[in-house]
Amino acid sequence: MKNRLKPGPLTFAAYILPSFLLYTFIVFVPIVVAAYYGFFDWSGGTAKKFIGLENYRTLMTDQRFFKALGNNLFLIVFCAIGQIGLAFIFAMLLESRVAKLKSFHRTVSFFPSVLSAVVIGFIWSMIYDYNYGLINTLLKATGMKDKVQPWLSNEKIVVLLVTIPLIWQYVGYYLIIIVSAIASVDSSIFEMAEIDGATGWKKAVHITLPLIKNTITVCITLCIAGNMKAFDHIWTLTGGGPGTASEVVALYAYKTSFLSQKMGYGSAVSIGMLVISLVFVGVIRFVMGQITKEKE
Amino acid sequence: MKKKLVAVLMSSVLAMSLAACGGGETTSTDNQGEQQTQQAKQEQQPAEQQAEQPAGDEQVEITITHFNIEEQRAETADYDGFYTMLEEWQAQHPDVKITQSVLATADYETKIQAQAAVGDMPDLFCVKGSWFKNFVASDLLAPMSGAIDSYEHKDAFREGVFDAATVGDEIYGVPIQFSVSSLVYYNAPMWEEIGYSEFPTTWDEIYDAVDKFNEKGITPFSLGNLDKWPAESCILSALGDRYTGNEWTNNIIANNGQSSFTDPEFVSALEHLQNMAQSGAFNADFNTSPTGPAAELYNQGQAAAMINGFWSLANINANATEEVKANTKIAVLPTVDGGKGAANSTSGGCGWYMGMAPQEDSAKAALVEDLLMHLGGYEYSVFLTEKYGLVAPSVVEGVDVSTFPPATQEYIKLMQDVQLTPIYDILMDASVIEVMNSDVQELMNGSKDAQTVAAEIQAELESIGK
Repeated sequence: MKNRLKPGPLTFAAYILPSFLLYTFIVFVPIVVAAYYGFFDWSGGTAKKFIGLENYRTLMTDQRFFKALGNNLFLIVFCAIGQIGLAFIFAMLLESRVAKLKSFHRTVSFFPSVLSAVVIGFIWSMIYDYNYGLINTLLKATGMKDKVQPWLSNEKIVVLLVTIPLIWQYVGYYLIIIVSAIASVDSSIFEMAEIDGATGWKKAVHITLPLIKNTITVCITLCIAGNMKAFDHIWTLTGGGPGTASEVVALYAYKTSFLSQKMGYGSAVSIGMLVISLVFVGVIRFVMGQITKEKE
Repeated sequence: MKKKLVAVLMSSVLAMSLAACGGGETTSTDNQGEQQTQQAKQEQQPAEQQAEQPAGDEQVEITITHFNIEEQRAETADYDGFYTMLEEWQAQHPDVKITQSVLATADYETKIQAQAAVGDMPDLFCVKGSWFKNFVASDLLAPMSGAIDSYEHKDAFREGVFDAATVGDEIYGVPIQFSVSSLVYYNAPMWEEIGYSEFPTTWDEIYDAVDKFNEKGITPFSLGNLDKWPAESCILSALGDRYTGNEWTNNIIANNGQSSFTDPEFVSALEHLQNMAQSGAFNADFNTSPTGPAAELYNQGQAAAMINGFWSLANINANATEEVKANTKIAVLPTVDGGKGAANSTSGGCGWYMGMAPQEDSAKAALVEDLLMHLGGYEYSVFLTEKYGLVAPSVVEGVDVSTFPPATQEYIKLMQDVQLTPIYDILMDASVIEVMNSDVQELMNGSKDAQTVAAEIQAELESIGK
């Protein structure tokens, strides 16, 4: 009987093995190899020159890298607010009594998450298009012709403009996570709260939010990880342009490796990106942990 | 228990093999691995086989990776030329198996760089002029000087076509494209309407025309600079030379420290380009429009002109309205006051080459070399010149031009006495070009001034010289 519940060590190892191998070869090995390549002046091919920490040192003072990182931070902050914040509000609406066709809304809001980023990029480049785009057409129709502009050329707001499609795409994804988190909370708690007079906004902030804060932490972690590696939307929308105005770190790493043919430095940039992502995630987990403790 | 273990192991093997087939990249590397083992097998038994038939019963396989997309063969002259040459050679060598891997140019560049990174090259592949130094340093290319010297039509090659492919004293590639990157295609009746019976020869007149077109709501010049290279390759390459002259460009390409991007001549060229963008010479969304839609503006008669490479010729002949087709004339950019560059010149030359990976089997090497000389040799130029009226890597004489579309005849006429100057992005170091393309986009957007841009490009040039 005991044997049926708990597999023997060999079976156990065999169950773990596929994931372990996959993870090792697809994630771990490439990271180690990239860190190693970061020590070389290497433009591809067999000729590599060992230059020690030179690439990493250059990275510390690379303005373009930090500008790209700044754009990543912008993405993270706006997506955390836009994706998780909106998803939370939508989840509350879906959970309320007035909402109709709940499962329909849930399903439809999830649709954009399954679309390829390239498709999203194209859809939104049509929205921003100068001649035929939705925004400019609306502006013209409503008599605001002076506001018509080639939107993605405006380097002051371009980062915001490329963030909007990202928010739009993933609201549904976080919505599903939050809705299921709320569903797993004992419904009697909400009933009690309502009897005590906590409704609407009060119930959301003081009852629901504290109960699902662990899920919110997971969402924020996912949001940081997702936005640190943001690449494809921006690549299809602006290619990082105008100039480097909407460039993010992953785009910079790609351009350095494959357009500038600096494979060594490109690897160093990727490693820099990894380290900073880990730091961000660590900090957020620590902060959320502190908040949790205080409340308890 | 044992059965279970076996099942689990089997499924893990399955998972691994699925993972290995996950991306297109990985699949093709697998193929290459396979092909290399085949090669190795052949090498083990060379003694019994004659040099003429290197594989005997076993089929020789030649792998080619390139960007000549078959679907675009009908409207792209060099693609058509490539396939025609390949088919001819295949017909002469039915026993050789040719395996192609074809990607669009941008994807091709990424893929071949990735393959170069691991030193895993196909037998033949396309090489950009600016890549040669790196690729040769990494032993990815076999020397071709011998084959070219013994080639029967070697005297027909145009002067300078091997320049970019020469490292030291050795040539490493055969040109597959003769590129003219900056041509002004203009709709003659539209310009006549505002008072120019010929394309203007001074910039004052151009700016005057720009104002007049803008008043009428017509885009003066269509430009699609989303991908960042068109403004640099098609406009700055030619405009820059007007200011700096050839010698400056060659010093930069050689990175010998005798010229600098911060030289006043080049800064003036940048200022000029910025001025063009700021005075409304281009469609308002030039920095966010891809090349295709921008060319369409001209093709549909919504733009009065377009500054683009020779490749637009085929596009106009295939896709423009009948009116635009008949009315298109071609010119080069006007000269600038006090510039050092020659007047009747534009940027052009050989940009893309095909190179051969070093071969261990000498019999196969001879075969691959033969194919390479066919793909980029005299017959190829004859095909391009006779069928499309193009200026090809080899000089082909006695071609009847009267049957070509009007725009093509214009091009042939223009090319008879135009001098060619270096194309920036094909000859300068890739990382310098990356900075330049990106900065030029901001320059034209008005968010960086010419001095800053020049200084940033120069800083990149100096950093690679170290």
